[in-house]
Amino acid sequence: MESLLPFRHENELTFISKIHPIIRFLIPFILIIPFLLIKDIYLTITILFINLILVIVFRLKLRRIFSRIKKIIIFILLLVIFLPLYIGETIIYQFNLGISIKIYREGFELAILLFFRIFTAIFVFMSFFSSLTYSEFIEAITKIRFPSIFVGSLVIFLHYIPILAYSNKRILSAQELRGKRITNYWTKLKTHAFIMAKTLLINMDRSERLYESLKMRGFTGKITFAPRRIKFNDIGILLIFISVVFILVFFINLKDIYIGVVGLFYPLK
Amino acid sequence: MSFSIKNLSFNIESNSIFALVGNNGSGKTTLLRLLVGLLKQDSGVIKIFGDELTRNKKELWKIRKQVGFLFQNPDDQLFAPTIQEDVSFGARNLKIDEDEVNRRVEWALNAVELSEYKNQSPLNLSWGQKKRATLAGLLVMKPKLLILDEPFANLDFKSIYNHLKIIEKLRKEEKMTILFTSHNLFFVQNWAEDILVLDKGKAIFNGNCIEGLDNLKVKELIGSYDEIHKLIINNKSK
Repeated sequence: MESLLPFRHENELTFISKIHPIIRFLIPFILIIPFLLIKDIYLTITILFINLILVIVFRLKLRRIFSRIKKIIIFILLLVIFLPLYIGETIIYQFNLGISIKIYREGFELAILLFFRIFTAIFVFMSFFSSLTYSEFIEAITKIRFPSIFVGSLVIFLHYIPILAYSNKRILSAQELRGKRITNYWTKLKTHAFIMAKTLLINMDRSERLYESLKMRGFTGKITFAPRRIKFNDIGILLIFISVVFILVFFINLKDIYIGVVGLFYPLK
Repeated sequence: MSFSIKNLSFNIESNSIFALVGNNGSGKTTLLRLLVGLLKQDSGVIKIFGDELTRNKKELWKIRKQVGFLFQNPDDQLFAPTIQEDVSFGARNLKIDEDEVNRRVEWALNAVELSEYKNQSPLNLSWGQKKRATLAGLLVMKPKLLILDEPFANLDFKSIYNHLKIIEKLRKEEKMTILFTSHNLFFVQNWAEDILVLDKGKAIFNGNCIEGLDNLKVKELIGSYDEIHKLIINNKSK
């Protein structure tokens, strides 16, 4: 069963497994916060490249990361695709389909910026999450003191999503065996929605029993993990990332560099 | 169908095997949940190892520490990303030192023969392995009373054999008391020493297992293998 996040298997060692899980959990935030705060496409693309290099250097599973991203990419496109039609004043293209449709430059640029920002943020998160195992992920969010109700809910959520998906598949197969025919997309959607609602109710009951079983084993709202200390090396790595982002934001003119590099291949007349 | 569990009074001898028998919906699981304080009784007293069950959280935990409750469906119990994490959960809540937690986890996983799977996700195990993993999760707490809700349901013969072998070995070594529910009369007859037969929340019989299964009222209520055997033979001969 495939989980929603590209977690690493416990036996699968990566180059950065030695870094403390909390640090691996924090790095993506350090990388993405600047370009989410500063509207700069060059910074976003730079972070995207840096992340890609890190994925290759750390030998993270690129295929696994992209298999999760490709499921989300359609939603990102849906979010930004209509922006060029509504935002802006400078028309860059116009066509007639009974009604006149205009594409604005400002909206187009915003759409590209937004697309890259969301895509890069997800890519960075997925990349670093693929270096964490499920338990390291839970350990990290527990230790940086996320509210226990959030951690508990997340544990139950991540545990039940695969079970829910599996139950859905089985019910659907059982219905097909009893003659249910899914002829078009609409029927498929209706069937899935109906089954999902039903299995969701069953799983709510299940999660209550899971909670009871946790209570029987002493659960008081906090999940405890085997202690693992943060070393100086871990803090050093965190500081390196902070410094890199700081330099990129304040000391390097990324726009000039990109224009210069592009100019090398396509000299401006 | 709704009913309440009424006028029940029974004792379970220490280090014995006690079976709770009844048809589907007779109130077996409800009674088990009452016994460990997951449900609150309207009246009456429940005592476990001499301590009265209260709503006080500290008192309740003092009792629950001594009781291992194995749920019917292992998916209701397994929650952690790996089997090792899941098994260690109860031990860590006992606030014992980490070395002792690790020792207990290793012992429990060895006892249920799942050591080689310790780094795997519980979701990837078979039903029988999941059941054993949940059992290990209770064993690390070194319970004195083991409550097993339908421990052999949905298991093949080989898994039942392994499961039973493990539980019996632990019962003898750790001097545990076992309370279990089952529809399977074979196990009840051969494994339990005493039984409590329930019907719609009321006790039909409480006492020695052999006498109980010979009791006419009990036979009429829960049926028997003879009945099923006769039905099959009669249909075959026609």
